[in-house]
Amino acid sequence: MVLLLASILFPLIFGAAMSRVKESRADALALIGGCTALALNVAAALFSRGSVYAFFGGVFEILQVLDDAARVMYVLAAALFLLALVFISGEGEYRPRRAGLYGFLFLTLGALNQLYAAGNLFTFYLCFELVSLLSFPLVLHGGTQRARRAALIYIGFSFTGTALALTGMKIAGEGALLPFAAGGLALEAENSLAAYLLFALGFGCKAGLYPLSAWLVPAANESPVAVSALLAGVIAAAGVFGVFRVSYEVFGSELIAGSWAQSVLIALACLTALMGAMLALHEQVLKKRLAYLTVSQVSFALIGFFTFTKAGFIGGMAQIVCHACAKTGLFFGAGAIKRETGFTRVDEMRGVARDMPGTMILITLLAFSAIGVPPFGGFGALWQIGSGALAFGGTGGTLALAALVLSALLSAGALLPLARDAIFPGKDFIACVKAPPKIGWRVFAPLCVLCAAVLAFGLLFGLLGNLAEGVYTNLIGGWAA
Amino acid sequence: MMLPWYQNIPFASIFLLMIAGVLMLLMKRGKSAFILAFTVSLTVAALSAVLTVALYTGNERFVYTMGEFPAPWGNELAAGPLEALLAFMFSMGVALSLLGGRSDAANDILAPKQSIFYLMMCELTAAMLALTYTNDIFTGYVFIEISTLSACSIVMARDTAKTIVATIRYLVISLLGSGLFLIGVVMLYCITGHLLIPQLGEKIAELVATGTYTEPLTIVAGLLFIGVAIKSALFPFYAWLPFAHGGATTSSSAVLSGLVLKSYIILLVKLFYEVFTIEVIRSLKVTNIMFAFGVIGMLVGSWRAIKEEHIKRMLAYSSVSQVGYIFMGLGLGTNLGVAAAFYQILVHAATKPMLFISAGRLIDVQGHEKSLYRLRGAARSDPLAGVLFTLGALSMIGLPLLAGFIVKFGLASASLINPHRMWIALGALVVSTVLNALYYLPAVIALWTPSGFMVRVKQPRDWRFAVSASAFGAFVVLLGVSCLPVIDLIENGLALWT
Repeated sequence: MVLLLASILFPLIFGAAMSRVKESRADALALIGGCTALALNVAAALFSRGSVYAFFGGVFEILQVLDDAARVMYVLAAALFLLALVFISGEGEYRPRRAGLYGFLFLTLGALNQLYAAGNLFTFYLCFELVSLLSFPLVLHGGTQRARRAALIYIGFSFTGTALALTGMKIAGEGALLPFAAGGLALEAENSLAAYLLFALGFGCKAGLYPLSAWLVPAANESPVAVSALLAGVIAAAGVFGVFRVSYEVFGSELIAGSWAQSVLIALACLTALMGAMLALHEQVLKKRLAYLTVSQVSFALIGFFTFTKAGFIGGMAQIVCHACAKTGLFFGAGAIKRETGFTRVDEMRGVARDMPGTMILITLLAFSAIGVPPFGGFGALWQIGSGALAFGGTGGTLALAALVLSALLSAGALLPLARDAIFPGKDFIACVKAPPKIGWRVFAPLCVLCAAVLAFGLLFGLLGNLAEGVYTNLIGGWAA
Repeated sequence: MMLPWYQNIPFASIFLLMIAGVLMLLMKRGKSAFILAFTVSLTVAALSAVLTVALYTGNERFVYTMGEFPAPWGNELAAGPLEALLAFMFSMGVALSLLGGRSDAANDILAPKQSIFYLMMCELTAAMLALTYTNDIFTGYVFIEISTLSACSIVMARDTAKTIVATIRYLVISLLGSGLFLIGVVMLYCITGHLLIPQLGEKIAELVATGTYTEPLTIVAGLLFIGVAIKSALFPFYAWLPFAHGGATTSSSAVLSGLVLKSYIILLVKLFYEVFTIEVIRSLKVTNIMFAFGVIGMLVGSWRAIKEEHIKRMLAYSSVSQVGYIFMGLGLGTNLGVAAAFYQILVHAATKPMLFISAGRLIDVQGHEKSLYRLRGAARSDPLAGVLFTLGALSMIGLPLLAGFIVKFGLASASLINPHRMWIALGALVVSTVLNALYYLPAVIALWTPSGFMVRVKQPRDWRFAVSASAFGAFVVLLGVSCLPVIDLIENGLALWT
């Protein structure tokens, strides 16, 4: 219990304190804080037993407890945050306001920890709002007028999602506020499906589910690169996590599997996947292209969860983890390219591998994972989700599988030409004079780590799969699907 | 038979405040007038708190006859736990608003006129308490007039051209509302021959049972409602509010937005419950109009606030939206809806004065700049004001653990019973939450972003502001965290009304 409390409170307090720190010491302090947060999170994930419990107003209770899925997310979130901190400290930008950026990053991590450890719907809702409130100043750190506009769009969509979730909470009634239970809490079915739909749309807003997906591209484009990486990786994962909690542990598969709500949601997820991939093809600004691909690829995880099959679930969990790592790495790569060469548009990036060969190779490998090329983790995830769609069966399942395959192909079409043009620019390419390298090990190292991670996930997919399967069996209570 | 001593509290509260008002004329200095006004309001607040506890534990509602004149000829006050709690809200709100806005009042109001300002504040508080406690409809009208006149004076206390224009507009529109209310009272008297509320209730029940005078009763209910709607700035009668509240001195804006608007609504609800009974009101379809105007008001108020650059006018538009919440709750037509509306009255009475007082302090530390553009970074010069403004903003947006969340949750719960209204109410709550976020969050960001407008001179600390705003903040958190006792009190009080 102490570990859990410490893992939540430490980033919050550290983040609040960071605003008072002098700029010259901000980098070192942030790295120390990041390592401590990672240590606390890993310790909590491995050793934490027991829960933290607070009762308010006779009606609302705050419950923090870690279950298996939450432990995985704990480690993932803290690791990605540490890598982001390393990246920012090496990037050399945002000099005058770096302490503020670090502060809000820690605050967001604290809120995310609290969100993953939420044990009931009210706590999850509270943390969801806190994450929105604490992460939108991160977008503001982009510093431009467009960043302000992007931040307002982010707030608008986030609060629409939150309000939809609140409406769902009201309609679902008092029973929905009980602690999360495997297999769902037994709720009367009268308006429960409508409530579930509202929750899925509301929490799915953070995951970029259509129709509330339009915030992600401006926010990812205008914010600092590390913030875009975290938005696309960890915060989108928090949205998917919310959908997972609501689907499996509040409403349960008995209620939802086979109902109209499930069909609507699968349709929306497929639509998002296709839409994101298609829009990514023609987008020339690299960060925006990656953002559209994020919208598309996060929906793969949603498709996996919505099918309510074992393979789909395993694929969904695996996709959360692998996509978070791959997309974070790709955004870091985009940041590295911008830092080294100043290019932001894809059509400028021909022959970039000449200036930064190692980085470009890592970017290509991460792109392979995002697209779903074996032996990387993304392939395993896509395979499982596809199997889940097939197991779901019927026209819906076939259409979902077709949407998956098509989106994967379109993402390949979006990412591979970039890699090809960068590494093999063609005979008519005139190389510029090679400038001294501007990016240091602190920008390069996170890319290495993430690439190694997705490769490991891919090669050791059995391990990840077993973990997810264990969670699923606990949730469904031994259903074979 | 000796009355229990606490039964004297309602009359004593009103009387103390009125005497204090008269005594102000003897005060030459503004500071002495302020101390008298503050002390008396605080005393009345303490008495009201004692009365609330006594009536809540005993679950009783008593009637206090004025003089030895029995009903139906005499005048009466009626007090239950709900009225006592509201009286506490009014008097505590006034006391804290006077405290928090003292430095602004000292600067804005001419020295010889300050005692008159505090006189008007005392009379206004007395009128609000009287509206809460009264058991006689014509006394209600009299105190409506007294409160209108004192409210206009406190708007005008800050002697600028804009406030004088705003005051005249407020006066004319307000008197229109009072006039309509009076016509309703007169018609009611003509139909029933009574002015005391219990007797009116019996007579109206007879008339409804026999089916006579249905159209006049509808018209009376409509006139009373429209009169109160005009005075409490319900859509579409809200145009006077932003300029009156936005231009006034800080204490005035706080009291007007947070308290005065509500006193009329409380009288209206009392009349609807005890004179007409809620079933009759529902059958006369007045609840439909309240619901419709409430929902539209919620959205329009927030929409206008988004475009507003002047910080106090933005808060005034936000009040229009919050009054819409109250009427939406009342328009749901159920006891749960009315209870949610009363909770919103309490919450808004704690949050809006805190926002106005913090805004006033931030304006002071930034060299009296009022637009959000020039107030950038003001929170860095006075962090407490910034934190409390942020707290108020987060409560308005509906962060759980703060009072505003309970209001939204309560209104949503209340709307579930009525399937026709449910989706409209829920949709309106969703849209209005997003709109609230879209103007409060940019304001909070602007206040905390360091900028070149920040005044470099170190500002002297204002302890009066600190105490007042922190007290309001404590109430906001308290109402968010422990809502059940208050909700229980409200529901018991409402049950005693019917």
